[in-house]
Amino acid sequence: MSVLKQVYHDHPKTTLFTCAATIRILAGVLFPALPDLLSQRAELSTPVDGFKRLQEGLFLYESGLDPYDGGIFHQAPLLLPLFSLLPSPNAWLGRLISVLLYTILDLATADCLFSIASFGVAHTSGLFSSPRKDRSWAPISVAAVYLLNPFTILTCLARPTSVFTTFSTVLSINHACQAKPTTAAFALAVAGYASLHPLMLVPPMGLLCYDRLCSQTSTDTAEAKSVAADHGATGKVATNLGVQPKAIRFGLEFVGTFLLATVFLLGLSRLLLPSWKFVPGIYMTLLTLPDLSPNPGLWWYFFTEMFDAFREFFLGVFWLHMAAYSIPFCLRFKKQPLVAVVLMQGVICVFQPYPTAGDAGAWLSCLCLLSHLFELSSTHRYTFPALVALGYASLLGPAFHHLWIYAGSGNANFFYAITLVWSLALLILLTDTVYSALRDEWEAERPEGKGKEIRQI
Amino acid sequence: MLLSSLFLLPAAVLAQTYTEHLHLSPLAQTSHLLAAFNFTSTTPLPAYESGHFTHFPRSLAQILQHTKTRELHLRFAWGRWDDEQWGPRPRMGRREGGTGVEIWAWLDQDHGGDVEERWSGLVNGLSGLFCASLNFIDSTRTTHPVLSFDPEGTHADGVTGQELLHGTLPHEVVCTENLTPFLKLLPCKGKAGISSLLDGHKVFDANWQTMSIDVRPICPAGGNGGGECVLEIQQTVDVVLDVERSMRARGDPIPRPRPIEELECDGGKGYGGGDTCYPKVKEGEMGWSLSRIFGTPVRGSCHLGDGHADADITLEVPLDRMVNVTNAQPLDAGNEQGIRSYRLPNHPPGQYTDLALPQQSVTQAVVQPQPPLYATRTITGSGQQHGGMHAHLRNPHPYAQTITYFESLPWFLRPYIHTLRVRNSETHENVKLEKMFYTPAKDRERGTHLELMFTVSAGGEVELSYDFEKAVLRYTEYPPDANRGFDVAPAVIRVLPNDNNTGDGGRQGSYIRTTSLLLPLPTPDFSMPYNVIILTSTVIALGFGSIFNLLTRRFVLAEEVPASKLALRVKAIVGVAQDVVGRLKGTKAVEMGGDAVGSGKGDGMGNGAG
Amino acid sequence: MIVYQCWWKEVKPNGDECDDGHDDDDNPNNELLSTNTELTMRLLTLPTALLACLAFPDSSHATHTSNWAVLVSTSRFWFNYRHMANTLSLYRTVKRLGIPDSQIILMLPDDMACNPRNTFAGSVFNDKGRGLDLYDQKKDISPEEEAGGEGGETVGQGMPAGIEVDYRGNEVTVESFIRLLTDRWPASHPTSKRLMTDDRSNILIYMTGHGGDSFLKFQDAEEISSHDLADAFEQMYEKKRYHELLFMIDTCQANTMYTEFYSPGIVATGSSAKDQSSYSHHADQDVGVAVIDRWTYYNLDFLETRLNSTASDVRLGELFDFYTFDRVHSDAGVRYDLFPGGEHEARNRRVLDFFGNVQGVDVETAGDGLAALGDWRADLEALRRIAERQAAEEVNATQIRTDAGAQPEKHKTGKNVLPAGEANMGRDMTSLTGGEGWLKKALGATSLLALGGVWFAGGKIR
Repeated sequence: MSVLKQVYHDHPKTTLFTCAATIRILAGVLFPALPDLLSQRAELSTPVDGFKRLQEGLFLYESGLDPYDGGIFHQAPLLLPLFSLLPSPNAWLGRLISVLLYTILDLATADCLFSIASFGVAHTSGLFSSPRKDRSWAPISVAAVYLLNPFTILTCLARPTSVFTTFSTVLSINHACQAKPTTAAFALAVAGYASLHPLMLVPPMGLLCYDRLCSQTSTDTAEAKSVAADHGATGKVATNLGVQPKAIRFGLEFVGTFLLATVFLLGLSRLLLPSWKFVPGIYMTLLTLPDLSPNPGLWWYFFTEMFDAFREFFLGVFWLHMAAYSIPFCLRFKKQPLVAVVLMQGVICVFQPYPTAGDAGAWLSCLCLLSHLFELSSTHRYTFPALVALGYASLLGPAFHHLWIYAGSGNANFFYAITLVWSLALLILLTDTVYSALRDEWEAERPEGKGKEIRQI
Repeated sequence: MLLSSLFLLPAAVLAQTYTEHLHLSPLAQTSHLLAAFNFTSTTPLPAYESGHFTHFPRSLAQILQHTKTRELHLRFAWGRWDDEQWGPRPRMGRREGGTGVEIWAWLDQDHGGDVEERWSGLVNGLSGLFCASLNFIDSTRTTHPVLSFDPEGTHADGVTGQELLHGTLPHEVVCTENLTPFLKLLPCKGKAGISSLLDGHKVFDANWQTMSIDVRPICPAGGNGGGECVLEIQQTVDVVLDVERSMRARGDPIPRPRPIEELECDGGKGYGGGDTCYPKVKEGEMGWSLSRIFGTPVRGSCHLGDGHADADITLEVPLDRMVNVTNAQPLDAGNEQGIRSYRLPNHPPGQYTDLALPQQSVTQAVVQPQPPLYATRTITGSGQQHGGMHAHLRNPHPYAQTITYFESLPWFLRPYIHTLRVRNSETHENVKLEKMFYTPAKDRERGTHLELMFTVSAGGEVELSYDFEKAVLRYTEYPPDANRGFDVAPAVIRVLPNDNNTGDGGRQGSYIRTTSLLLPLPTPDFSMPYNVIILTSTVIALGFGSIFNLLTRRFVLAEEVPASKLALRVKAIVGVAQDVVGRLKGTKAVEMGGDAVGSGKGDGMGNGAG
Repeated sequence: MIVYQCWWKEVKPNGDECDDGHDDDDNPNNELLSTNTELTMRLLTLPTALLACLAFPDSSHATHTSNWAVLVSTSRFWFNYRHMANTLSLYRTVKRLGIPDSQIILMLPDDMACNPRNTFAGSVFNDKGRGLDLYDQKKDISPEEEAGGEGGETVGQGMPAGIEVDYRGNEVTVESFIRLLTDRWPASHPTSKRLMTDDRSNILIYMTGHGGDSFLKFQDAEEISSHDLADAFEQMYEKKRYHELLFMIDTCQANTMYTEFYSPGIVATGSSAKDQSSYSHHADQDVGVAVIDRWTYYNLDFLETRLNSTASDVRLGELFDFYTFDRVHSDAGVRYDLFPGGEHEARNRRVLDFFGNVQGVDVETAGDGLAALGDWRADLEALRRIAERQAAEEVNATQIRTDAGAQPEKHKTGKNVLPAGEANMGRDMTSLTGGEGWLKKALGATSLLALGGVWFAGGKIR
């Protein structure tokens, strides 16, 4: 026992990652039917990321048909060559290999989260330092939340391709925290190319990247200064202000890189496919919602019941509504850019057209990056009821889905009601985080307000 | 079977002719009677093109000319052909449709105008003509089969300039209103000749019935010099009638126990005790007659002066069975296949013809031939989200047969073709697909088209299966009886001609259609569009409101909040109340005043937050 | 207009029909006069009839030249058998009174005749006596009856056999009903399914189903409200699609359906007042459900007993007076105020102005069994004559064609054409060879490598 403890203390990250990988692979090996069962669950895979649909698209691709000339496959074209290199997942080996691939993705995502957490960007940015920075969790805990989260584990087994989007987004955050705008923009472009809505992360991600760039330049300058001071060669170093990159120029560069990368990805996809049909095939599906399969989101039942005359109008409203958060978050959280990114991820996770429980799992783990704020939200807000509601919805959701689809003893309203509760719980968590982040920022200015009743005016 | 040999009569006969023919054959070992009506007329193609339709129905001709349809096949069918009991299908299944309505046609591709548009004109026109909802055949129910159908007519330049379109309506009910226009197309309008037997009450009381209309151009085989082309229209009605049921009184079709006086008792049972009547089991073949089965004898004849002397009625019963003929001229007392033919009298018109077969014990056993293939198709799986299709094909013959398998699926059934398995049921080995055509469905735009070609080994059984997913539709897309489910068109199986199975007109092979399937889809709650819109919007508004409320306002300490006017006023009122109470209660007023201030503060907070 | 009508009458071979035509032109003011002329006219020959038409010009310009009927049942499912029977009874009556099938739009949302629950396949009855099959009454003649000649009875009463349903099953929706009334259809819509009326057409609209206060349910899935209906009629009026319109509705709270009408020329009648139910009349134990509604039953009772021929001079007022509470068990209502001339004029309209046809096809009554029998023989003879004539023509035609000789192949001339349906066809998926597959994989791997390469290059930039 003590040996185990010792091992854990010496190599906590290795131990955690090994455990997580073992859980996933063991689940795949011990319950061979589980991955296929989960991959057909409405809560875990949707028309735009389901693994079975990927298989169908792959089949059409390998048979020489255009996989996008049909109503089934709506996923990124570059996934096709990747999966066509793997053995068919219908057999035992292929299934294990696909689980292995998703396990690796999960580990990579967790590693990114670990590194983001260890940068401490959440509580300390170029313009701001949180009074609660000492309360934030250890990076290993953040990675552990991601890896041992039941939603993530189930998603890993269900293998929806939204995992690729999640990974690219987190990778982009990681590179943004390292102040690498090119790769951050590129990773974000991959995410946007795969599922469109990460486009809305461009402003907050640019902000994060810019902030890191500034603070890095300042530390560089500071180091250079100290070095220069050591060498007694003052006056040769440019002033702090001079090396600050220009905001507009940086913004243009970032967006330019993003667009360039997107064009590159689309062009690469066109090379693999016989026509441009994949562009409407992927993006029009997300925009117009032709497929109304049930999922935990707010869209499907709304548009099932919508009157035909108003369908286009409400599609527009829903998309604009989702996009409407991006810029206000950037403006309000310009001192805490990572908060803006994570909040925007939350908005996407709740309001996107085809959400899954896996998206929620990933977002909840990202939320742990802002762990220094938990104290605030739990004392002043409704975090506990929201978490309880989340648990309630995740238990009752599958049950009600079963009652509707299989047992026939309930109707669609049962499952719909649960999706409402689920979305509401996530929304409350999101709102709580907004509150806490704002309060934290306010308390940094006014430390005397700590723990007191405050009002908004 | 006779019918297969009678299938392609006309090729030799050209110019304008009209023949009609009824084939009657009791189906072995069952009390069922197959009555196969055929009405064929031809019109010289040049005359048709210049608007002289003669026997060709004008209403149909106008639709065909307007839509530039070269060859048309229209089917109305209802019921299930019982392969196991009834053997092979009449006319090798080539005049049979899938349950509901099935239509396929070759349309000219050139001549400007979109083929799809003219196809829509064709189905709309036919829908008006035949009182059927053919106009529901839109792009989602139309496919372009490649392997399963070949043109039956002769086309000068092949079918290169033409496009084959195929549509099905498996849900369509076939009833008297479809028979009425069908009969109106005939030259004798169902008033004379064998068509006078066709009555909705009998045809639609049948166990299986199919009506078909086939229009095709025929040119003599000799090529250019050998005579002129004709346009042929064949109308057939094939019904399988339950003899006993058909002979019940029209007004009282409900089977009831016979009155005791009419019962023939079997006295041979020793244990009866004399006071009980055990009905005697009737022996031999049941007696029947045309007039009892169809409710009316054949009225007159419909010989339109073309000098032919073909048989109008043929009867396929064992030769030692007695037949009482009223008013018809026997042409053939029975050939080696046991077929007797009769011709209706030409003159004087207006006589009634009847055939009656008395009850009789027949020693000669009839051997039912085997159908080319047995085929069943079912939907597997439970629940309304996923399912599977499973087809089972059995070849009863000692030789291998190559078949094509054609499915046209509605778009809301989303097949996963990567899960398609075609394998031998016994060995579980995959059957090699010789050809495969697949057009995936597109939501609300087109349905799935799947065509396979493979060989079923001698005596072999093949299982075909794939998974599919059921879509949730918009609530306006569900029919009024949404919970009944949706119909999926039958699969069309074509047994390609081979050395052992050429038959006549072997170029086409024979066709088998499976039954149609019922597909339950998940249904939303139809009663609450408003509720859903309101509830979802509330949740979204809640999120939007609270987030933007936080984003747009700034924090201040609670004690820094200036007291609102309302709070002050409330405080004042409370103060007055305190005074009053204080005056009444004297010393206790001080404590109460303290409480009241607290609650006034609370109100102030409430206002601030709102 | 009158002149036109009389000319038209003249070309008809049957002199009696001009009488009917005259009755159509009849004006209530000279009712007595017209009955007198009717008597004398029967004796007169055609030209005299023509003169008579001209001699008594109708002072009211309000005549119509065609009659149309729109008969709608709006409820699906077997237990609503009676609504189907209601509609079919009306169909049979208007057909008997002379409106041809081409001018009757029949909408039946479900199939009762061939319903598996129906013991009487192919039949629909409106009476437990089951004397009359509404769906398709064939003339039931056996050889013995024919031998008997006069004694043979024909139950069909001379109505043309067969039935033509224009809209059925899922086609019966509020949308298609309103489109039918206002005639807004795509170009490909067949004419037999359209209401091709003009401002000289009288239309009978009969609806039955389940309804409530100001609405009528269609197929248990959607509703038409009285406002929708009123607006549709107004559009019809503006587009001059009717001359006079009789609206009849048999449903619960039926009278609320016509309160919103505001277009002139409409007489409306319903089976029950607001908050009242309409009841069924009786059930048939063998069919297993109620077979007809009360109000429709008494409408039919009236129409069958009082309108024996197309010459019957029965007024709408008499029909409306027939709906007593004792019979219908609800307060049937009539709305006259939209009709020019109001209640008096409306009540004075002949029932046949709506239920019959101006062309006045002669009715074969039950006694005319022999005529009915002779019918198909005459047809047959006519056909034979046509066939013989065609045969003679064909001999001529072949001669002509052998003369023309040179161009019979014209229709065959090939055109430059596309391979059949290339664009729409799926590719034969078995044709993919292994080599192609590997090529594809290699291409895919290359692009993935390119992606990775760009990623690392991007990393190097900074």
